[in-house]
Amino acid sequence: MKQVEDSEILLKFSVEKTRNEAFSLLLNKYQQKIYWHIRRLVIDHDDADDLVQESFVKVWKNLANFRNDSQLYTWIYRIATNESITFLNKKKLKNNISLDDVSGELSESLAASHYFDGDKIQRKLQEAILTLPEKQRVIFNMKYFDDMKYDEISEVLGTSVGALKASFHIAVKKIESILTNDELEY
Amino acid sequence: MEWEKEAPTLAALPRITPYRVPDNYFNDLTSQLNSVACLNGLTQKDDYGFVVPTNYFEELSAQIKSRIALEQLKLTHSANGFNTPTNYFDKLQASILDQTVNAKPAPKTIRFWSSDMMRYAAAACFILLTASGLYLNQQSELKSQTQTTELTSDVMLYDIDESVIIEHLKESQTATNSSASQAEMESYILNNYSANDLTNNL
Repeated sequence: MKQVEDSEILLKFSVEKTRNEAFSLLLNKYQQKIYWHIRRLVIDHDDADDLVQESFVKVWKNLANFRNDSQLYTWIYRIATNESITFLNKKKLKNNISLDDVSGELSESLAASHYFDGDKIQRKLQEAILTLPEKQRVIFNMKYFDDMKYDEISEVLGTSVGALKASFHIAVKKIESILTNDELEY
Repeated sequence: MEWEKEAPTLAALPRITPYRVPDNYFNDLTSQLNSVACLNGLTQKDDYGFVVPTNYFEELSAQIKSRIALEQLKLTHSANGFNTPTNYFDKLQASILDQTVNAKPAPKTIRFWSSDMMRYAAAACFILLTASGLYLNQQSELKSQTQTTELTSDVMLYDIDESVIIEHLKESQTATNSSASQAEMESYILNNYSANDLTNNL
């Protein structure tokens, strides 16, 4: 299916008649990317399903006010990232636990998940990623898995390019260390 | 990329997310999201799906104005059910002012007997006069009673025989010397004994 340009989507959305069509096009173009982005953060499929729906409802409500001061793609990513972080923070408050304990819960969720389809090393990689601080994990995921440019990540998170580079560099070293130390086991 | 040189193990791994999704998840997701967006769009509509008659809002304004006029008319009519004299309200205000703000203070009348002090003073005078009168009256009665008693004693004394008086004196050991003359005895008796003493002893 030919990918529709963001400008065309926005144009169709501005007309009430073609608004629903524009939204369908937007969903086709971005729903999977946004889903996986959320899934990598929250691990559990059901949680990711709820969050992706909430994110796109917000996109629907606010797309008319989109000012083109960023790319549509990064704007949608920002909504999804904020929804995910809010969800994780609520989980922290609800269970009265620290961030490290949230990562531990996510690791348990990963281990118990029926929807995990990787081998041991893949599991190790995912567990290593879960040891990263929340924001660093977001940066790593967007750079490593989505291959986003630092400028685009900066639009999503509102962080400077320099800080993003530093954060990603630290994350890579940490994960490499975990993977290398455990390599002998494999 | 620079980081691949620093993390060869990581760089060597396939960049996949090893998670599964339920079958047809993304197809269902699209229709679900479309439904949610559609429902959300419906709730954002101003009329909320209700229909109003044609030209309703145009006629509504005129209807409201008519109703207000009718209500005002009712109020006016009920107020004119009773009649008042000509210029009544003008005069009323002046009358009220005369009785309140513009009223002259009445001359102050001081009643003599309204004061409690005067009453107490009058009562005290009365008591004083009464007491004085009683006292004086008592004193005069006492004096006359004394005079009467003396007079009675004198009368009694003159009624008694001299020889009886002399004998009494002798018996009371008053006369030791019988050589005293009768005149001397009489003067002695009169000088040393009161009429009452003689009357009582005799």
